[in-house]
Amino acid sequence: MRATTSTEDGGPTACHAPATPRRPPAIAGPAIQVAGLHKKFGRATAVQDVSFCVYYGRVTGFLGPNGAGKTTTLRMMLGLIRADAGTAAIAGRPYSRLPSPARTVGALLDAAAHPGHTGRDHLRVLAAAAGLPGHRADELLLRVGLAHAARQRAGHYSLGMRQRLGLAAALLGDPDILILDEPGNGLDPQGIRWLRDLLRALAAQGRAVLVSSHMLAEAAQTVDDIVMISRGRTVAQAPLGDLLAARPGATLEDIYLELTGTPEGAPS
Amino acid sequence: MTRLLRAEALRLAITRAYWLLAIGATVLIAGGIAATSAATSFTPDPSPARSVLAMAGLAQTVALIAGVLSVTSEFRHKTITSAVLITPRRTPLLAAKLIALAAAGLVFGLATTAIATATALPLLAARHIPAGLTGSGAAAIIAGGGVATALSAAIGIGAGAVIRNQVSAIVAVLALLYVGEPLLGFIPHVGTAVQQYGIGGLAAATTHTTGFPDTANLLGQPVAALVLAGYGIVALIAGAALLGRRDITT
Repeated sequence: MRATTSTEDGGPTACHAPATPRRPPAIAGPAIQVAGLHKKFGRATAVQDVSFCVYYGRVTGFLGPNGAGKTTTLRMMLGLIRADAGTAAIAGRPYSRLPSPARTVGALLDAAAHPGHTGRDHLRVLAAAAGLPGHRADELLLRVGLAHAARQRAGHYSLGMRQRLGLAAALLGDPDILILDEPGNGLDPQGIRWLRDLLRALAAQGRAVLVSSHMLAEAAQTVDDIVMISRGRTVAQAPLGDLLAARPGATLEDIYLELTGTPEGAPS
Repeated sequence: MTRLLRAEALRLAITRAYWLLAIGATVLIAGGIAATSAATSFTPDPSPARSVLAMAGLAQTVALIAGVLSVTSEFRHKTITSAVLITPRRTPLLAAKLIALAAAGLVFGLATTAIATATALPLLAARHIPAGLTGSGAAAIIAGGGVATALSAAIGIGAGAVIRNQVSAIVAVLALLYVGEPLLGFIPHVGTAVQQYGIGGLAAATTHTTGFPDTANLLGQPVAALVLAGYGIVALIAGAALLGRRDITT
């Protein structure tokens, strides 16, 4: 039995170590363990049963259609949205009980900055709040390729530059776990390649990377594991290789459409 | 908490809106007080200085807006997400804003009221108008200006955390201060209470000036400061409770 879990057969807590970790995990056990998350906004159910695991040393792609509940799930995992039921353990405990969250988890959700602040000042404020030295801001600007724009106001940044700034913010505390919501948005082809190399490098260092995406072709080149959700439920969790091997000839896109529904307006 | 205070102090220092508000208010206060002191006839006024220095109350309005901005701009620009990710316990986040802005408000209030006093008294003296203000009276006005401005910032932070939407929050506090309270002040019986316990009247009493209208019934300075502080505490508790409870979805 390979490391395949789904809500149907495994139950929410059945997280197995991946069969072929590229590097030994930094800490024993999964980096992230999500079990049975539920959330309603008013009468609308956003997430009704999402369970999955994310492992150290691997890039996990978090896939699903618009409105499937990806962002709500990520925000529940990070304590921004209160779950109606279910749990999310990050490095073994709820996010809000991590002793130093910024050094444990780096998250990119909004790529947001005060438009009047320079990229450098934005990172300096976050570094100060996290108890990190101010020079981390300059190091990270260099790392994400924004050193030339460090003293420009974030309001003048392109979407791609804001994504890079958001990645810099996520990496400030040198965390072992990264949670990135659509980090490829607004990046040009050079940026996409750069992002892929960055995520691969982070995983190769033994870090856990969870990345939500719509770009299936890009995901197929980047990720080790797949978590797929649809209409608020986990519909697949498996290593990408296993998913592809189980359906000879099918692409990730074929599998995605099969599991999450055909495109609207498509001939049936 | 030290980290959060350092972050909030940095945020204050690098955000232009606060500097524009502070500089704009200082210029308006000094200019308005210079013009009034130089040109108005004060008969019959027991203390022309206290009437003139009521204009320095603009410092409290500005601090109220700065307090609102400090919270609502985090929601408007969606930076609340990264702030809460770094500090998952949201009450300390609000407390850091409170301490940073109240401290800045105290300094700003002391400075503007001192500038206002130093502008008004020589101009009145030059026109041989008795200021009607003792040395200790001037000290009470300056100290009161600092305290009232710090407390206004605190109320603004609480209001911002409750309302969250920047434009709505600013409109709400300005409407209360400049439309609601003055209009209610005209209603017989109720009016006296509004003049005494409205934010405008309390700020005027805390600064030991005459308030507006200058016939207003005001509480004594220490009592007014305590009531104003009470409003700040209530606003902050409500803001902290709601900030802790509400989902951060943007």
